[in-house]
This record gives sequence, structure tokens and C-alpha cells, in this order.
Amino acid sequence: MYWASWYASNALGSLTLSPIALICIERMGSFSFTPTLRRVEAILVAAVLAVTCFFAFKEDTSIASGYVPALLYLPLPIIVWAAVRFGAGGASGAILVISVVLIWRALNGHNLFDVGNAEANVFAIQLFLIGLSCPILLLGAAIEETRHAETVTREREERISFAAASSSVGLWQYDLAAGKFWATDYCRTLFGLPAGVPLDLDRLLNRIHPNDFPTAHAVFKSAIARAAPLEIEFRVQGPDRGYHWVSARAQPVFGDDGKPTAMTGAFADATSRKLAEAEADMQRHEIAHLMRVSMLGELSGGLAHELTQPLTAILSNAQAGKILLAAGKKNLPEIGNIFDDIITEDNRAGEVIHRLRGLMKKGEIKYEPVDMNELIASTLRLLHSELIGRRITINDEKTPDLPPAHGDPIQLQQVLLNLFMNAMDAMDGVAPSRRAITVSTAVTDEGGIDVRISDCGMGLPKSQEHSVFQPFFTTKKRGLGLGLPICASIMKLHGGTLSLQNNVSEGATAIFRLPPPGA
Amino acid sequence: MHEAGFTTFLVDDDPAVLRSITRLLNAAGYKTKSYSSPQEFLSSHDPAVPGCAIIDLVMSELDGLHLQQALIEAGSERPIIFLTGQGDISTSVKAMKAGAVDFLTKPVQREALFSAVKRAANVDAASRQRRNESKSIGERISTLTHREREVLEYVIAGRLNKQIAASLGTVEKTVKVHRGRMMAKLGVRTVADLVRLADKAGIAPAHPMVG
Repeated sequence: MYWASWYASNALGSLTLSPIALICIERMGSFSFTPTLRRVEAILVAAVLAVTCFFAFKEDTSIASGYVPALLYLPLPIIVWAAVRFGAGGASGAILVISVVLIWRALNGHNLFDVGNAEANVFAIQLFLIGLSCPILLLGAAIEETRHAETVTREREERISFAAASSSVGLWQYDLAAGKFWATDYCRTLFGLPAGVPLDLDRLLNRIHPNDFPTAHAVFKSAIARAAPLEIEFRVQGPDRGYHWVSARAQPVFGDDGKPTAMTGAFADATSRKLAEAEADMQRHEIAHLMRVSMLGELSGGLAHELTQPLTAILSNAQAGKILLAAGKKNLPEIGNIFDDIITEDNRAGEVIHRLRGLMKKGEIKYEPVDMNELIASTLRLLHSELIGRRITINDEKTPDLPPAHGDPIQLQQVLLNLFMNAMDAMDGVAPSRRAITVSTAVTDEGGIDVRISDCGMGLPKSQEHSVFQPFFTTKKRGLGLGLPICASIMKLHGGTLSLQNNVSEGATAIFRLPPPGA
Repeated sequence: MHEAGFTTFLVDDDPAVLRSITRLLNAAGYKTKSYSSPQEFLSSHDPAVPGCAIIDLVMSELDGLHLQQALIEAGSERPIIFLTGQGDISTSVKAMKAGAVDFLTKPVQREALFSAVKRAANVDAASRQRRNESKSIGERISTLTHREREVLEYVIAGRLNKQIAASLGTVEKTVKVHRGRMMAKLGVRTVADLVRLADKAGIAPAHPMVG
């Protein structure tokens, strides 16, 4: 009995005193950081616990009436409170308070543990306290551990958010089951929302530029509904009046069962990249325009002839009309015919000017349905005099009733014009009777358009079939070497391709492909 | 204004231009014939009809300069006026050297066209007259006997009857008879006329006797 009591008292001592001593030593440095409110709460809990114990452990009629177990449980909620709120420190503090009250009670008269002799009483108290302190200390430690893990997670999250924000990226996650949205603070900055506004997906999406909103909204909704990766760029209303570009990417997160649980993604500020792209686009546009104008310069002789013909007809008709009019009324029907011809020829000259103006002007790129056959015919009309002057015949192998292509007619015409001019130049050394260009159109397997322009000239220099697309590569005496690179970039802009290959017999073929509309 | 039957032959592969110039020339009272292709013009060409050709320089089948060449090779002296949209100097020099009457730039003013046609008409008339004359001279010369022709060649070489008789191995009297008949047949009275006629007919004087 003596050894048991000695052992129990040692155990109790280390259970009640050592944790609190350890915690005190550990927190020595940071003690002052405890906020006042928490201190008040700690004192309050200790006081309530002390009072509860004081009354609960009182020797009373309770022993006789058999309330002992119930009274023993009375301090338990308060101990749990202390453990939950203050972790391991709270738990050991509470046990210390209980021990002190119990010892005080034992020293000052009767108490719950009055079994008989003093030794037995002390042993009972010791057993009770050991039994109580073990689970409470464990609970306190577990809570402390959880809280610590939470802190670490939060700190890590803050660190990632900070890193993301400093590289102009906002992170977000959408819980598919709960429909809950979480996003880092930088998303507010990106979407121009004031601090304090709760973040949810719809609130963010509503900040998107009205022109981009329908597409972006549909993409987000469908990606979330299908738990599919998404990638999209859109403009967002900034905090001031301007707009900036945001690129969004997201991918689904899968649970252990392989089912998607959330969508996680990032918003990044793409304004500077977009500006650089726009700048590059503008320069490309500018160069394309310059090339167009210089090409028309090369064609000026032929183009002037295209205008001279109707002007000649108009002038001669008008002069004939004047002579006929002076000669008397009998010529009226012929004068009517003259006016008809003048109108027709004037329209013809007008069309030439219209086509030229289209190629000369530096307009915005406008995508619209384009009849490639018609565009080829119009290009050939523009080249009519040039082709005659160079004694080149055109073999027309166009497929009738092509589906419309999607593109900017002026830029596509520029590509056609360039390819025709290359074909014409390639045949300078060929006998006039053999100079011919074959133009064919067809529908590709995917439903796009395939245009081929073949000449029977000298062909491409061997092993240089790819060099022709490199800027400043030219086989012409007076070429800049920019025509084909520009054509290739125009085709790329249209999602199409441009390739050149030597024919089996003689000459070369340019193959120009456009994807089906909407592809 | 111009010779009866004078026709302007228009060749242009642009139907509108062809029609308008035809109208203008018709209104000015010219007889016209229009062709929309150079081949069509070449195949139906009759050099006997007086007139001039107005030809577009740039045509798809055969350009104006080649058409001019084809006409020359066929022995036609038809005067040609070229119309062109882009008048470059080397082409116009080539055309004028080959005998073109004018080289007009489109759109052509009617005064320029009419004056060119008038000049072409004069050229045509002159060449026609020259050809008629040389044709009639040729006919007359062909009636001469061999001996009369020999006498003609000696006369235009400036020989005296006595010298001719010596060269031909005959007497002066016989030469005189031949000479008289020859002059009568050719319808000339003086030696000067005879020399001019022989020159037009392309008859060379006899070589002077050596020694």
C-alpha cells in the first residue's frame, strides 16, 4: 500500500506539474503575445472550475444519496472547455486547479473521497486525479496538434498566395460537391473588386467585358459541369475605367475514388503579353499592307491598262455621241446605245477602282464568309492586262459551288495575288507559247478549301523548298523576300496552311488550304 | 475628204473599246470594219481595199507588233495606226520603224485619231498610186521586144545612136527605128521622161563599154 501510494503520488506529480512547467518554460519568450481577452477567459475558466470543484467535491449527503458519479462528472465540461480553448496548457492547468481544490478539501475536513483512513483517502484522490488527467492531457495535446496543423496550413496558403500574387496570379478552387468557391485575395485585384467583398465565381465572371462575357461564362459553366480542363482569355473591367486582359486556366482535382471533387485553377494578368501580341499583330498588319501596296506598284502598268480600256470606250462613245447629236435627230436610237455603253464602261472602271482601293487601304481585319472561286476570279480580273502583256494563259480548273471559306477577303486576295505573281515571274524564261498557270479549287476531306496555283516555270531551287518561307530569302532579282513569309503568316492567322512544292515535270505548285468555318 | 471605198479596219480584243471607236469613226463618216481578234483580221484581209488598220498593241492572241510583222510578210502595205494603253518608247520606236503611221495613247482624243486616219489615208493613197503607176509602166515595158529593151538600157545610159549601133553590131539607122518604136510604146517623148520612167520601173542602165 505504501509503495502504491508512493508510486501514485510520483505519477500524479509528473502528470499535473511537469506539463504545466514545460509549457511555461516553452512559452516564456512569447507569453506577452497572449491577448488580454484570452487571459480574462483563462482566469474565468480557472475560477469557474475552482468553484465547481469546491462544491462538487464537498462531503455532503451526496455520498448517502448515491450522487457520487454524477458529482465527479460535474467539472468535466469545464475541463474540456479549458482543453479545447487552451490546448495542452489549458488541460494541465485545469488538472492543477482540480488537484489544488481536492487537496485543500482533504486538508480541511471531509470530502467525496473520505473512505476511512487518511492513507486510503489520499490514494483514492491520487487514483481519481491520475484517471482524470490522462485523457484530458491527451485531448489537450490532440487539440494543440490540430491547431498547429491549421496554423501551418494557413501560413503555407498565405505564402503561396503571396508568391502567386507577386507574379500577378490569383488562385482559385471550386468545390464541385458543395458548390463552394475559394480564391486568393489577388483575384479581387485582378477583377477590380474592392477588399471585403466576398469572392464567388459569379461575382468574378460578372466583371468580364460584355463582349467576352457570353463566351467566358459558357466556357466556365461547361468546364465545371463536365469537370474538364479549361483555358480561356478575356478582358476584365479594371478598378479604373480601363480593361485589362486575364488568362484563366483550370483543371479538375480527382478524389480517391477517381471522381472529380473540385476544379482548381489560376487567373493571370495577361495584359502586357496581349499588348506585345497586339503590337506584333499591328506590325505584321502594317508589313502586309506595305507588301500589298508594293505589289500593286509592280502591277501598275497592267492596272493602268485595266482603267484605260473603259476610259477609252467612254471617251470615244461620248465623242461619237457629240458628232451624232450635231448631225440631227435621226441618230437618237444610236445615241441611246452610246449612253448604255458609257454607263456599262463607267461601272467597269468603278469596279477596278473598288478592287484597288480594297487592296490599297489599311483597314481592320474583317472575317466574313468568302467565296474562294469568286475571289480568284476577281484577282484574275485585276491581273488581266498583266497576264496578256506577259502572254500567259490561265487554265481554270475551279470546282464549282464551293462552300464559303471564313476569312478576311483582302488578306486572302493578297495571298492569291502574291502566288499568281510568283507563278508569273517564274515563267519569264519560258517560251511565250508555253506560259500557262493552272488554278484549281477543291473541298478538302475536313470540309475546308484547297487552292492550287501551278506554273510551268523554272521551279524552286533544289533543297530550298522550305527556305522560301524564311524572311529575306528570294530567288528574284528584285525581290524583297517578304512576300511568301507574309502570305504564310496570313494563312496562319486564318488557321490555314501554305506550302510550295516542285511539280513532277516542270514548274512549281503553291498549295493554299483553309480550314472549314468554325474549325 | 478621203477616197471612195476607204475603210478603217479596227482590231481590238476588248469589245467595248472596239465598239466605241467604230462608232466614233462611223460618226465621222468613215467606213469601218471591226475585228475582235487579230487572226480574224489576218484571215479576211484584202490588200486591194483602200484603207488603214487601227490596231490595239496589247492583245491576248497576237500582239500588235506581231500582227504588223505578219502583214508586212504577207506583202501588204496597209498603213497602221497603233493604239496603246501604256506607250513605252522602245515599242513605239519599233512600230514606227516598221512603218506605222502613228502610235496613239488611250484614251484617244478624236482630233488625234482623225488626223492620224487622214495621214494614213494619204499614205495609203500615195502608195496605191505609186503601185498603180509602176504596174502600168511594167505593163508597157512588157510590150517591148528584146532589141527595143536593149536599146532602152543603152539610151538611159546616155549612149549616142552610133555608139549603141556599134555595141549591138548593127547600123545607126536600125537603132533609130528601134528607138522610135520603143519611145512610142512607152508613151514618152523626151529622154528625160524615159529616164524617169525607167527609174520608176527599176530598170538599170546598160554598163558602159570598157575600153
